[in-house]
Amino acid sequence: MEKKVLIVDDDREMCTVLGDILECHHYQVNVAYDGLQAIKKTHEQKFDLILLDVCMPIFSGFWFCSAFKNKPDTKNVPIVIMSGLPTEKNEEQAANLGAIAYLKKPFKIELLLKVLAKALNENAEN
Amino acid sequence: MNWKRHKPNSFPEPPPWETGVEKKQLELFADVASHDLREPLEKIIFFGDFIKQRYGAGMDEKGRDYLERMIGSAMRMSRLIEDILEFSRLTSRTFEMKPVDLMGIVREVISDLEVRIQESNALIEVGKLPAITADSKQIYHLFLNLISNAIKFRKKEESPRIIVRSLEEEEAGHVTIVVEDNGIGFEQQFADQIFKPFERLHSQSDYEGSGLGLSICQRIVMAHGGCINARGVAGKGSMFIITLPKVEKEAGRGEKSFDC
Repeated sequence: MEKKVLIVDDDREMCTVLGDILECHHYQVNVAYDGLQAIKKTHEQKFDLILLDVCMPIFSGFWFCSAFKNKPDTKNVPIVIMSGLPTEKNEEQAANLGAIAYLKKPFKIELLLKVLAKALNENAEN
Repeated sequence: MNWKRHKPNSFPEPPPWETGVEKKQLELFADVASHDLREPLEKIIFFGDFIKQRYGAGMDEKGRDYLERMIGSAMRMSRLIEDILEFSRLTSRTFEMKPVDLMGIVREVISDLEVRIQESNALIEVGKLPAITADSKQIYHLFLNLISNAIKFRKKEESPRIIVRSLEEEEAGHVTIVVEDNGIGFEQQFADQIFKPFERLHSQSDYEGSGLGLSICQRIVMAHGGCINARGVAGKGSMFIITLPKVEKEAGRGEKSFDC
């Protein structure tokens, strides 16, 4: 069965290209353009994985991550954070907030697909 | 090869714009420029990679090669921007000074470089290293840059052999660490030049990199009140000699230096 992925990024062009890539690789894709919209989407439907950008206006990726992971019904859904932020602190913060992986932008599609497959596998095992 | 202990004559003074308000503005500028420059680059990489994946099969070999080069160039530029940002941050950041076991840091670096060490068949020997008061993240970057360079600038026909060791204390309160290799080395006349930002002794196509690695190393060491010097023999190897104070009395900033 196709896995459902929510892409959260304020950059619409990025959402489009990431969505196309994932659809090509048999993922079912939905997009949200900020943290608040993402919360609304996750209320409406269940996702197998969230692919989350950090720097977004008003409700950032970290805000979403924290809110999402604190809810009992969504806390087990894996979150993969993608960010161009250079410091190790952000990687640490992502891990502390419960993200399963941190993709440093720019990344190759091959790496993205590997990380998503691994995150979904690990989550299925647990 | 005769590795004589090298005594530097003077420290490079930080340029006048690296002080006070201007310094903060420069850092802010670097941050904004870095973010805004990276975004379109990320798109070039994504779209390029996507075209390769999705439409690559319909292209001839030349077309795929051009696309690969385009993605490679964008990736290089992205790394360059990151290095510039790191370089500019080193001038204004307040370091977190605490006791640091250099042995542990070097082991961490070696573990993080595992893939490259295996690929190049490198042998790294680590002698006994002391503990000092320093910013552990910066010291990690220092050794990461130096050991990565030692692997990168290896001879084609010989596996890299890298030695990290400390010298006996010659000056009270300071430690001297040496990173030496059997790589391609350099002419001693270029020993100062290699620490200057964007100075390169080799073309980008021979040895990839931003030309900032050793400048970053120098900034890190200077910010700790230490100094770094290079000794090289072309075709035989390089040696980097780092002198650092054992205990930093006040929080380290770029302006301090000591006579060594």
